[in-house]
Parts: sequence; C-alpha cells; structure tokens
Amino acid sequence: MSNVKFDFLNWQPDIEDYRNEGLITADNIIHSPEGYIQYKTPATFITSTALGTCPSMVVRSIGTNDQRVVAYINNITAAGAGYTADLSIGLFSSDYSSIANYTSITSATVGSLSTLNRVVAFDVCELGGVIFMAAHAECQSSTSLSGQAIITLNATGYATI
Amino acid sequence: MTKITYTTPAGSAALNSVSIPSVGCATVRDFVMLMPTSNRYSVRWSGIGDPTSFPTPGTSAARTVQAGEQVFPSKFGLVTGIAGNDFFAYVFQERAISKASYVAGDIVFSFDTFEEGRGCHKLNRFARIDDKVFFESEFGYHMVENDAVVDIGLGFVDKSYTPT
Repeated sequence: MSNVKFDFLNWQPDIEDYRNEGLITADNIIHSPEGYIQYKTPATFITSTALGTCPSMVVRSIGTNDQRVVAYINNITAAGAGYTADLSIGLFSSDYSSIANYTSITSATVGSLSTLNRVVAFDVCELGGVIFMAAHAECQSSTSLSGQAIITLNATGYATI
Repeated sequence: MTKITYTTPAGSAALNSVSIPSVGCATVRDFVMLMPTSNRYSVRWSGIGDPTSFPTPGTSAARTVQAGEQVFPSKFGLVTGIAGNDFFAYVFQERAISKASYVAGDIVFSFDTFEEGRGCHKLNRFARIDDKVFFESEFGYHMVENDAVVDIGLGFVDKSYTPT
C-alpha cells in the first residue's frame, strides 16, 4: 500500500485531546479542498414559504467562488390531510446572501413535516462547463403509522455555469 | 494551482431536467455516468463530451455518440455509488465493486467485477481522494486502490462499527 498523506488541515480528532493543537470538534462546517466553508441552517437558505419546516437538505461546494449547490425539500404547504412538498436544487453565493436559483423539480403529497422527509442522495459532477446534479428524496406518505409508505422524489438535471 | 472561475448567473435560471431520474452521477473521462431510478442495478452514461445528451442505449444515435448503459448482476445488490476520474470509474454495488474502463468502439466501457463480498452498502457512502476510494460496507471501512480492497478499519474500528 502506498504512503499518502491526506490533508485534513487543523482538524485532528484522531490525536489525543491533551496538548492537541488542532481542532477536535468541527461544527457547522463543510470540508472543501482548501479548508472549511460555513454551513448554515435551512432557515438561512430558503426564502420561499414554510422556511422553518424544511426537513432535510444536502449541500455541496462548487467552483472557486465557493458557490453552494443545495438540494432541499421546501414549499411544504398544507393540502388536505397532509402536505405538498417540493424537492428543489438551488445555487447560492458563497455567503448564502444571493440566490441564483436552479429551481423546478418535483412535488409530492406527504404525510407530515417530520424529518422522515429527507434528501437521501445528492450528487454533483462537472463536464465541459456544465454541472450535472442528481437529487433523490424519500418522504412518508401518511401521518398514520399503519398507512406509511415511502414516496420518492427525484430531481436530475444540468445547468451551464 | 490553475483555477476555473465560475460566473454566478444573475437572477434565476432553470435547471434543465433530463428524462432519466437518477440517484447519483459522476464524471468519468468525457462522460457523465448516472444511476437511474428506473433500474437500480444499472448505470447509464451520456454522449461523449456532452452531459446533456442521453440517447436511448442501443440505437444508432447512441452508438454515434458512444452513449450506453450497463446492467449488473442483481445478486450483488443495488448500484450505490460511482467514483469516477479522468481515466476510469469504480461502480459500487451493495456487495461488489466493478471497474469501468473506457475501451471506445460500440462497447465504450468494459466492466470488470474485481470484488465480490465487500461493496458500498448504502447510497454514496464513499469518498474519493485521487485514485483512492474509501467506502463503508456492511462489514466496516475499506479503501480501494489499484483494483484491490484494503480493510482499513480491521480490528478496533470495525469492532465498534454498526451498519446503519
């Protein structure tokens, strides 16, 4: 096996705490190639309705401008006995202040606002000036445990950057 | 280090959807390779150099741009990840790993399963660093390099590991 050093910068959780000059705990950050970027709560991201009820999101950093590509469930609004929810993908500036949205995507009727509605996979890749994104979410269909079923939401697409 | 500078689009931009809903994607050489929801035991790749084009595999349109698909044996479980780079890709199933090598022609990619047993047991439970890929199986933590799997968590780490 080759001997390669992986640079985790000053995060050194594997070294004992005593006289450890690095970070042992790293909260609210996302690792990026040149360090760490700030992670913010869902309420910071989503400016549309029902901000506080965004149950799940996945964030990736992209580009040297450190933009954030985010897959999230939002726009949860009451509908009949349950709610409707969107799985969306957004592009945000590095400080999360501006939104150049990649929106659209899919909607579903879900049973509750719980964290059982979640983004389970979000991949981003690049080729020839195009970023390609695939997001996949699972939601619960009913508020009653006896009627539970998994509804899947999917958002797959590309955008030129 | 050479950098690529992206321009943030002003205002709102539509995400151009593709007709192949997928749970994951990766860049492999000059292709984008997907894990389609329509068949979770398969991967599908775009036309060469064009991540926006996914002609139906097996058609002349697909052969012209080298687009295609590969279905894996279901006995190894669902496809759970694609770790691609500029030369090849490792395709993870729940209990197997295959290497996708570009061979051009009508075949385009050759798939060789070199590991049966250890695989990526959940969606995207892997991380790629250069030509090494670290992944989580139902047994513990491993690294794959040069088509060989190393048990990096063997002993203390894996004994404390509970698959979730």
